[in-house]
Order: sequence, then C-alpha cells, then structure tokens
Amino acid sequence: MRMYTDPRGGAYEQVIDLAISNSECFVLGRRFQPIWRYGTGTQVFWRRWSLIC
Amino acid sequence: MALRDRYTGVLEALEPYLLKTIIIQNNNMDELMRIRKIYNSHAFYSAGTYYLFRCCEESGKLLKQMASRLSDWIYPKLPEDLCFLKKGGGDYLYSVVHEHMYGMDVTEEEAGELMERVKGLFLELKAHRDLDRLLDDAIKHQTDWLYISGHRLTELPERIRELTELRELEIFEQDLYRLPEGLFELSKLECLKILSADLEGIPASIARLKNLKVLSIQCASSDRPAPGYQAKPREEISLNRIPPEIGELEQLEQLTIQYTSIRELPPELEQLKNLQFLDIGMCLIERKPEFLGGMKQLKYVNVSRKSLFEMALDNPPEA
Repeated sequence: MRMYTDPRGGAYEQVIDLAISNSECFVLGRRFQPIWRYGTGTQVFWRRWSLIC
Repeated sequence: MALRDRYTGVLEALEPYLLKTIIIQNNNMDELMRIRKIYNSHAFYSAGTYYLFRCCEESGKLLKQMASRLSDWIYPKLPEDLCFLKKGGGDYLYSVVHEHMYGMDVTEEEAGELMERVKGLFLELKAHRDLDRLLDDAIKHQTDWLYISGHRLTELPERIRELTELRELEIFEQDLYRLPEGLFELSKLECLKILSADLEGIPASIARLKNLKVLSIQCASSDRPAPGYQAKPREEISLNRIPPEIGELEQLEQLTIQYTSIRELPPELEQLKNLQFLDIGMCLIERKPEFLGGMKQLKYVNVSRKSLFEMALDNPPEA
C-alpha cells in the first residue's frame, strides 16, 4: 500500500522498528547512473517500466 | 562532515550487519531481471551496487540515528532507497526516493490500525475516496504532500487551511473554478499545482505564499475526459490576468500558466530574481514582453500561443 509521503521524525522511527521486526534484511544501494536526471528517453522509459513490473 | 565521508561512514557503521553485496553492471539487463525475480523488490531497478544488511535491533538503531525520514536516503548524502525485504522475497517497506514512491506491505485493515498507532504514517486507504476522510487523515498526520483528484470538486473546502505542514499540493479537479482564501494560508507551501478545465482567476492573496518555489496552473485539464470531450476555447477561459502581487513571491523558481485568456504579463514579474522557468504557453499573448530580456537568470521562456506540438509541426527536424 502506497504512502502519500514518507513518515518523518518519531513516525519514521516507529516505522523502522516495525520494518525491522517484520523483515529479514534491508537493502541500500548506489545506482551507477543517475538516469533519472540525465537519462535518455529510452533509459527513463526503461526505468519507469521496471518500477511498474 | 563532507558528503563523501558521511556516505562512507554510514556503510562502515553498518558493515557488521552486512550479509551480501550485489553488483549489477551497466547494460546487464539479464542480471537485473534475475535479481528482481529472486528478491521481488523495488530495490533493484537499475545497474548499481546493492548492500543487504541483517535486520536486528542494533542495525535498526543505526538507521534511526542516520536519518530522520525515508527521503533522507538519497545519494550522495547517503546510500539510497531503503527497502526492507521479507523472508522469501517481497518488500515489507520500500522507497524509491527520486520518484517520491513509498509503500508498505499491509492490508487495508492493518493500514487503518497502523495509522491509529503511528501519527505521521499516512497511507493511501480506499476510504480516502471520501474527501472528508482524506482531509481528516491528512490533517491528523500533518502531511507535507497531498494530491487531490477524482472528487468532482467545484470548490476546495476552506478547511484546507488546516494542512499547516503542507509543502506540496497538487489538485487535479476539472470542475474546480474558485480558489479559497484558506489555500493562501498554507505558509509552508513550496509547490502548488492546479489542473482544472477553467479557473476564475489567481487571487492577489497568492502573495502570501512566501515560500512558493513552483506554481503551475493548467486549464483545459480533465480528470475524467468522456468520449468527445473538448476543452472550451481559450478565449472563454475566465483566467485572464496574472495579478501584480505575483512579484512578491521572492522564492519563485518556476511559473507555469497554460491555456488561458491571458493577453499580457505584469511587469512585476521582473521582481522575481529567482525565477528560472517561465511558461505562459497556449495563452493569448501576442509578443514576448521586452522586460523579460532583462531577466538574465531565466533559463527557459515560453509565451507562445501555440502548443509544443504545434511548434514542433511548424519546425520539423531536418532530414
């Protein structure tokens, strides 16, 4: 279920506690290409498509 | 602390909980699809280096110390897009910060219970098809972002003024015609976007939105276009002037007003020293005002009566 916006402050902390207790691991990353800013139309299309799928 | 040092410091602090590092090389779509299939997570959508950490009280404590909201997890300040994976795959919680996408794997009933317990957790419930319920929850959870559409509104409720923490507001309601005074009491608003079929005008009270950076108004917009729907001619659009008070929006960086009967721009626009993007397209402006030439900070200006599509047809690319 989508959030309208991301929780902040105390709500963020409570959500992290919930997520920690309901998950096995968490992921953080670094994209190789900031394609959301500088990508070609094809790249942006691919990224949006991949988010949907 | 320099950004680079902070980024590295975060990964070093989390290193005791590191389970796995996944590297997906550029242009290796097969590998990307394979990883997506295994984890079934929003975390993997492009080439990159991904770090998987064990969930435990200590690693959770670090996540709480390092950020104060999910959107803080963005490069180069921090590694990005914090996602929590369930055993067996799938996200319990995901974030795609650049897309302003956040979500949790909970049912409608669980979401309602969570929102009762956690003030500031604002989830998109089906019950929010009722605008009163949407506003109740938006006010209760002090949201900083809101999108209103599909409620067949002819006017915005005055209680919109109670959304005191709002930074971004987008309203897409084709029958919305008048903007209430309460809207201009939202002093923290940085981005206001309004899409409607027609709009009575822009009140002088717009000047009260001192933190506004982005203002976008697009007439001839329909949130439920029926077959054969046609926008009224722009000569008949009520919005026919930009109030001179617009010049008091000192923070304004982007101004878009499209498809209106506006024929001239107020010279007070020149006071907008931060304005970089000005698009008053598809209106009735005959020629570009001279004073725009003095606004050296402008990076984009469009005051053409034509749409971008019409302009493209006029200037086809050379073979």
